[in-house]
Amino acid sequence: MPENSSDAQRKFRTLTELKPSTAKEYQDAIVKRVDYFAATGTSTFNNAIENVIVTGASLFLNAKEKIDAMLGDELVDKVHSAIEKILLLF
Amino acid sequence: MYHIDGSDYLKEKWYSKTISVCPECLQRIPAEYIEEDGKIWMVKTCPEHGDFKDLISSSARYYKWTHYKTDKWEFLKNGEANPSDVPATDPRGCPWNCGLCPEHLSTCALALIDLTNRCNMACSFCYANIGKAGYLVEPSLEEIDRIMAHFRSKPIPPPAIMFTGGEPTVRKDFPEICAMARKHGFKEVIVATNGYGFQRKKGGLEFTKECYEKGLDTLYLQFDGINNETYEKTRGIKNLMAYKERVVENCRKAELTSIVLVATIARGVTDMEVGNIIQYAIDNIDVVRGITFQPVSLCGRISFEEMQDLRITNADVIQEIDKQTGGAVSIENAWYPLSTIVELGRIMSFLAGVEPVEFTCHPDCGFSTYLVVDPETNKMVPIMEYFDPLKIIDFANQFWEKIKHKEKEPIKIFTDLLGNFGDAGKSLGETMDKGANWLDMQQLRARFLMGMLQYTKKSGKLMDMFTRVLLNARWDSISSFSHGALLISSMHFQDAYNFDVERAKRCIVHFGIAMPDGTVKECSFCTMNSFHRPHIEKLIAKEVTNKIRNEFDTTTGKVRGEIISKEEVVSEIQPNGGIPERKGMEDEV
Ligand code: SF4
Ligand code: SF4
Repeated sequence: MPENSSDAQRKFRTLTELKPSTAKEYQDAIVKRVDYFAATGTSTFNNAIENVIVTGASLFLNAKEKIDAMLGDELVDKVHSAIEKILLLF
Repeated sequence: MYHIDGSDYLKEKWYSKTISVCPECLQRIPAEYIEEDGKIWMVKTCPEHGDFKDLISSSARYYKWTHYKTDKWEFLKNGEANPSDVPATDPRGCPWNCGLCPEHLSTCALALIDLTNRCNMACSFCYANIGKAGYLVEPSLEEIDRIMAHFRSKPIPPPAIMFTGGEPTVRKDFPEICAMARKHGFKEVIVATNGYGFQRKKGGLEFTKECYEKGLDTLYLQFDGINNETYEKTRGIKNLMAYKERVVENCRKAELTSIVLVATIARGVTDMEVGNIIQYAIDNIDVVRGITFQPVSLCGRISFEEMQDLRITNADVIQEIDKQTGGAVSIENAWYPLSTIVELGRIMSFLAGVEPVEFTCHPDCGFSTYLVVDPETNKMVPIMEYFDPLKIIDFANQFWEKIKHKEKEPIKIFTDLLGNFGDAGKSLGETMDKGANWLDMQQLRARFLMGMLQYTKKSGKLMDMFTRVLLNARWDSISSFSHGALLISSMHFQDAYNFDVERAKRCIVHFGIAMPDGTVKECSFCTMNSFHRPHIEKLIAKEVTNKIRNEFDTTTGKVRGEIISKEEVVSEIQPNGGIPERKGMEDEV
């Protein structure tokens, strides 16, 4: 990459150098932000109904990951387009 | 390349037409986009100044992907523009009718105010420099207030405002200006800065805290790389990395946790730093929210050969990122034009009853991606791996088509039915319609959420936050989501060589300028910098008064009378933070 002598002094890093704690730092950043808003008392994070929906959606995604893997790509596509048709029925 | 590999569309050579300008006389001339050697070029001929050819994209494949369309959607959008401010009186048309004129096709997503043309640095390629200009451009607090009121009074007001310059933090009243923006209702208050006010060894931390408390949300921090040698090349200043790190550290201490690193990318100078910058952002994820790469714009008279050496396009930047991240962020599948999320944004805003944010800029303007760290593998991946992006785009477009009429025509069945039975009937009808609209909204939310979740491939904290964004599009959800991901974008501003009126007309980044007659001129970023700046600045330039000489908070400069000489300005401004000589800067930083 470096092309001349001053470039040779420059330091270059690549994404292979991720610290083992990086994923946790990202998760912590979300949690800290949520706590910050929740502390205001008026945030959506204090909304009980929304919290229930989010938990439900998370369970759905967990189950879906497993079911999709079982069904295989072709069948998953068919299921998706059938659901989409229903959702777009107005 | 995404899903279009092997398609006839990709095999066919690109050809399209548009209107551009002659880089010499700036008059409008027709231009063509052609494909040659796997690249996209703009070619144009001025009857007076001859032929011009400029590189638009170093990857024809990528360019074609960003112009891909199906029978249901395309990346090129027309926004729901605000009503125009001025008539289109100049028969030459765009870009000579700014602004905004009735031809403009997008609303403003990001309002800009140049707070000053003073700066503590003197970068050679910067347009905003009092030393070069020889006059002061610095709106008073009253003028700033007028500009903010102009933007916020629009039917679709911009949610975000960015203060630009010069270096905005050389003004002593900068924290007060942040508070004004908050009072005007801007949701996101941003400063484009080299870090000056925030990095000061004496008072930098207190200044950062004060700005944060008064309403500043985000720093767009000029950040060319992690090597001092790079800054020496770009800014002519030694040891600038320590200066940048002091900014990051003070933001961390002040809990101002939203820095976007902004890197100007020049071939052979900063292009080798893109991997470093991404790595630096990841290492500082508690305070760094994103990176914006900006391929350098060109000005002045340049030969075709010089142009070949200097021109760097968005596609070059994302190819460089691909290379320097070992393929982790690939040109093949990570990047989407900013306009991709327009329909998604419209649906979410409608369902949440909040102001819509419309990124209807042209697909050539910018691309972006979110990087996330997969908790299972601790590997950085583009967020596209968590979704089926094309299916989501497709679903969102169809869904919006079906529901968009509801935005303008909410349910009114019961009011119509009972309206003839006196006031009591009317009031009952209205209450029942309110209920019906509420129920309708809930079923729409449920359908939309289901549609989106079925094309989502992963669960986890970040996806919980995504669900919240879909449910309420509120700032606390969006902000928390963005704290768990790194937004990377590449935005290529236009210059007279690659100018395209179709891009200008869709511009979503608008300057507000307080004019001497008491009006506010709203001018798209690229047309301001490529065409209108010299003329407008001469109209609004101010005398360099004693007050300006002695203070940074130069809020009462008189309207330009007789401008003093350039040398005098330079010598008067330098004691206020201007840098006298490049050599000797080591002590300063
Ligand atoms: S950039 Fe917009 S406002 Fe300016 S002349 Fe073109 S269409 Fe009109
Ligand atoms: S500022 Fe320039 S590059 Fe950005 S949206 Fe406007 S026209 Fe496009």
